[in-house]
Amino acid sequence: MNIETIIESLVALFINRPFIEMLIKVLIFPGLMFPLLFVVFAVWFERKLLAKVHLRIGPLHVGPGPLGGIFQLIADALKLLQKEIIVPYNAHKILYNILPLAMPMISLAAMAFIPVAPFPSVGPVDYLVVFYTPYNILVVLALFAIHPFLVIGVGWASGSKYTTMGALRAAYQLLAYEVPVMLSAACVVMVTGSFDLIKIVESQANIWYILLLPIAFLVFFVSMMAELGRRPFDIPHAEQEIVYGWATEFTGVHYVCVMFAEYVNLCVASCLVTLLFLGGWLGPVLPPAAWFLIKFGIVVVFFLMGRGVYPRLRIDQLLNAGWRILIPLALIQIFIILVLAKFAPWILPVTFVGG
Amino acid sequence: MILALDAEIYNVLCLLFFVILVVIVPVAMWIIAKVLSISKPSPIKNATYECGQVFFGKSHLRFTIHYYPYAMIYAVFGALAIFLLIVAPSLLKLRIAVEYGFIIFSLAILALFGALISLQPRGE
Repeated sequence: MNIETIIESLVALFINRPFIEMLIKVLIFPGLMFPLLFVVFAVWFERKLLAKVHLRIGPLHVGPGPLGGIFQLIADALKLLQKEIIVPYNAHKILYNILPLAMPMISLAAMAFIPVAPFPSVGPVDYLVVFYTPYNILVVLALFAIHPFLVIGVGWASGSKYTTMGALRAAYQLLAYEVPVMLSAACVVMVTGSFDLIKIVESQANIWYILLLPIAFLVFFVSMMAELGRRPFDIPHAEQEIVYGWATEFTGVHYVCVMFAEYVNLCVASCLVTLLFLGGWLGPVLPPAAWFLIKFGIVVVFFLMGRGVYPRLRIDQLLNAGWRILIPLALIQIFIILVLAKFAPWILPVTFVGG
Repeated sequence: MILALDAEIYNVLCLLFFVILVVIVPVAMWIIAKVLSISKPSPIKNATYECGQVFFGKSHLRFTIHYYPYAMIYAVFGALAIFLLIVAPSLLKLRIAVEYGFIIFSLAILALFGALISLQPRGE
């Protein structure tokens, strides 16, 4: 066997259609680079946006011209990675070290199930998605539901009063807002007749669900904001009250992992809102992936804007809003869908045969 | 050499590749941090953070019983929400659900509002 044959077989193994497609899917677009770049960009954009809202300049120096400050996060991350890993005496050593690392793993794993655009593929569907399953919305919601338990575990394992208090607050908040998230997702699933995010997007060809199911959109958006712990709902962190809530004790790499997981969750939530209510990649003229990114960007701006314009809720206000307003609203939306199915079925995108 | 790949196997291979990467990224960050950082523990540095005060008492707080009803409501509504989500795709395909569903559902909503009004704390 001469060297040319070895090179030829290596080329055949790596330079072929399935392998390159796998690299694109897993490494670049819905896969790893998209959430990583999103985190860098979102943190910079959030700082700039809040600075505009507060009439400040914001990050300025690290980075070229109008993008001043864009490399600030990379500098911050490098600085934090050099910091000493401090494990407090009171902490549960194993959980304290493992749980912060598990958080970004769980958050990133959800990206595997999110389809982003049509794409001729070797896989089972012609869409740009890392792993296709017809039940992908269930998997994404289930991965989302693991996050509160990690937060509670982290807060307990840190062994401090502030972290315990933050974990308890996170328990009240995140578990209370799981229910409206599931109910409003159920509205979309009910109208589409499928758990498949691809079918959900394709069924919005005539009318987006933000117009057909406005109450469900409102409920989903607000409860996702609470699930992410963004500003009007950042009671588990609450810097002015309990230092930094459940993440108080974290330094260095643990803190990097926790913040990374929060922003990847923001990415997943924005993808979900785009796919469920804004028609995903559907749109004229521009390529589908561009439409997806435009809608995704608009949703992210709305998520980030909450931090600039709203004050923090008290915990009783938050629980009231969750249990007394959002859940009844979601149930009313389901009721409206049932009335529509009975009296005006032509409005719904999928025609059902009564069985 | 052309690999003849089954679509399903390819699907699973993509997921495996992704999961390996997802596990590697945080672990790699941790290893880099372990290599770059110095470790000099001291009793004061490793004490629990109490805003500069000396740590006292127990770290694990008790929480008030007033939140317990919320836990019970969550158990009920969590089950309801999961049930609704699971049956949602086939709900509108059932004639009985379309014909009578909204009547049953309106009764359920009335009952819910009754419960919420009766749970309203005094003085609000």
